[in-house]
Amino acid sequence: MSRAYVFVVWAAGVILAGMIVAALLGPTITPYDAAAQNLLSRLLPPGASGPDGRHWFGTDALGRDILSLIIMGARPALFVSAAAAAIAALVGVLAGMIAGFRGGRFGDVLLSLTNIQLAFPFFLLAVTVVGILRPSTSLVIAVIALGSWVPFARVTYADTQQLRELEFIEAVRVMRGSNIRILFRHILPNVLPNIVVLSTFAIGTAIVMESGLSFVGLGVPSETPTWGRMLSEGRDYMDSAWWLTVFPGAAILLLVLVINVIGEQLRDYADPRIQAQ
Amino acid sequence: MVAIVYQPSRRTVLKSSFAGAALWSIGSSSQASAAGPKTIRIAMSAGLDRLDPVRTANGPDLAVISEIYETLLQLDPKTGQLLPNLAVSYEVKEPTLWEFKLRRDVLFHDGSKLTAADVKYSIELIIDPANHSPHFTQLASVEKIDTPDDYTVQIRTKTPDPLLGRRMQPIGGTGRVFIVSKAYGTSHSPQEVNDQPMGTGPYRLTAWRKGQSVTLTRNTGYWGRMPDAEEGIFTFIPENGTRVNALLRGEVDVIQRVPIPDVARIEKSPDAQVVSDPHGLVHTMLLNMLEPPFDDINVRKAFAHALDTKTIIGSLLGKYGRVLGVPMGPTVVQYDASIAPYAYDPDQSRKLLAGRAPIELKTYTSDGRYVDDREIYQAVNAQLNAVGFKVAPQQMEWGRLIAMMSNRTAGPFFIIGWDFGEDDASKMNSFLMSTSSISITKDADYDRLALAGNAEMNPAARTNIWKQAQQVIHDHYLVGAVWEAASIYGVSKKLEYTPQFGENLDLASIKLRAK
Repeated sequence: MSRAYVFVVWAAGVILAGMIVAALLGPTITPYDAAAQNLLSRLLPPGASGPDGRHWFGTDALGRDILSLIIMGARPALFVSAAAAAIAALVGVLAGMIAGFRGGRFGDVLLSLTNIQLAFPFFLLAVTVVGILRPSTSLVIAVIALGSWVPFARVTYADTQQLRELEFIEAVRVMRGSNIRILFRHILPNVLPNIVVLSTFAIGTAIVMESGLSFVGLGVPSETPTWGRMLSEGRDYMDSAWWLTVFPGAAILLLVLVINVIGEQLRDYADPRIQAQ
Repeated sequence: MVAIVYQPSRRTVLKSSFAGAALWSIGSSSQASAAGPKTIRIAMSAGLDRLDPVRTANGPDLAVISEIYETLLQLDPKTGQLLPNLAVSYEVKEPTLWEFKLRRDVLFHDGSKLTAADVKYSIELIIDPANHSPHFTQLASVEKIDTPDDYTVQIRTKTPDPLLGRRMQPIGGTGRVFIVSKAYGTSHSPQEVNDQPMGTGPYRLTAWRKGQSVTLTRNTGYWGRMPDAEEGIFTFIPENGTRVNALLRGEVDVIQRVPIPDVARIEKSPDAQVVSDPHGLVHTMLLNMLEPPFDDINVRKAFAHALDTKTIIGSLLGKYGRVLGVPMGPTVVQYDASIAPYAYDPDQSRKLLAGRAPIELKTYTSDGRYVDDREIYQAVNAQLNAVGFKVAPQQMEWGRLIAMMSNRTAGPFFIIGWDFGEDDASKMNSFLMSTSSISITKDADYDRLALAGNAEMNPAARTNIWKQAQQVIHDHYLVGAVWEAASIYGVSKKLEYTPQFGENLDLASIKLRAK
């Protein structure tokens, strides 16, 4: 790994840590109350000062401080995507392990399900489901999880099939270990490294999905707009007030980028361990 | 062998993707960019549905229909009075008898003469329930029509109807009477009449590519003032940004509904300018009085005084918006200018709601249907939350929202805009009279005054009744907030256009500047 890339990885880690801190501390570290509208200082450019002080990222169409909005937006971005990825991982790993271990019809059913899901334009499904029911945080998480479980299932399925043929599993069987014991005590730990890596990429995808849903007005309901929602609301002002869209767009981009960089590092770290099995 | 791979630089990729996006948006706007110097290309913000004046009251449809067909009377934009058009004069001979005298020199586009029989036929089409005309309700007072000679029409109404004359001018949405040819209508199917409209107006339809464009050509046999443009091409660009760009690139000459953030951009451009009519739609914040919490006048009062409407409209719309004290346009003949908008008094609102838990309001909001509606809703919700309400808004697509409004399930309050271009107070009945099919208001005093107003033929007495009604609306807090927004158009500098009828675009009045 080149020295420059080492720096990139460390920088990614720092940025991610910063975003997690923002998500955890939220309203306590915003320079202004993010929800406070001030119609008289609307659309101030970055760095300009209003009657209540300097706005480093400017203000939006209702006079809200954009830096504060960006900080508040980290919470739904990280929480929703992490929760959705966790649920997707849980469901996907369980399904993949059981299907991979039992094989036969279970395996066929799983593979058909995943194929159907992959063929379906997911965003359309998400918009339809959330559009018909009233949007809520749990609904959005569930819908994004629904769109993310397939990679987990397929990887776990393939890994489980491979592992189940290995000799040490035979040994456990001989010692009269139950199937459940085999699955959770022996197969799962070996599947885990791949799953962890997949999770980081799934979080990245979930962030983009949530932003997409927010963009069309179907994201998690929140008092202050999420990053995706900020993009949508700033569209009318792209020519006259670029900061309304550039900052939330950069935030989404940056978060997904650092997660992918870290995910790649995890993958490189995980690989040698599997080779050694 | 060495494979030569073309590696586009990042710049090239960026340039070509921008070019691709630009090409795509050009393709979606007008296709006839190479048009003559006397052609005006107009981009509307919504598409055409149909061109049969009996069967539609839709804005874009009427914009084209009003160039091909005409009405008996027209409106003076400054005074709101009725002026002659196809009719040289009209007289209310008895409270239930109206007589119109027609011009004798009017020809339809096919050369046939306009006579009283055509007027009778046009009205009968509207009042025939089998045609399901959107104008039916406003013409329901018509009992029968007589034509004592070829140029005289006598309309007998069941009860005195002071508004019959207003239906004979082209502005105001539902309730219009455009004159169609009896000979043409009876010898062609309704579909043919729709696809090949034939009227007396300054323009003829020469091409209609459904979903894409409509081409109108000047009627050389027109009886009235010949318009400047020989040809008008209407196209439809619903997306705001694309429509503005089409004007700036010179692909179209006129656009309607310019978003306020784009006004500066158009003004700065060398080839285009912004013109506006301050009297566009009248926006009303309607409160559902049929259910709690707004069945209680104190809660309505708390709502009205919680809002700093002046600052909200002032900072969001600037010179393109104006807060009103009554839910009607200032050009309405009976408008009472002495009634002031509700004062911003959040302390009073808090006192009114003191001692109770925050009132939950599950609302539905629109985004992009009205000028700055999304921001207005957000500002309003924040101010309501500050006095003791708890608003839980959900954005809804307009088509669905309007369906919910028609069966009164659109939530405790919402914004809806009205075209008061007809200049009469009775338009308020659509949303304030308890018997109206979409009304969420229920006030016995208003109903009584509105019924009296609709039966009073004397204009001065009518104005008096409607002024009393406006006072009732104000005192009983029947409407939460009112403002009017300007109709903003983008026009090429080659043209001269003064919009006078709000959202109703008039091709015939657009002038070409002399070079």
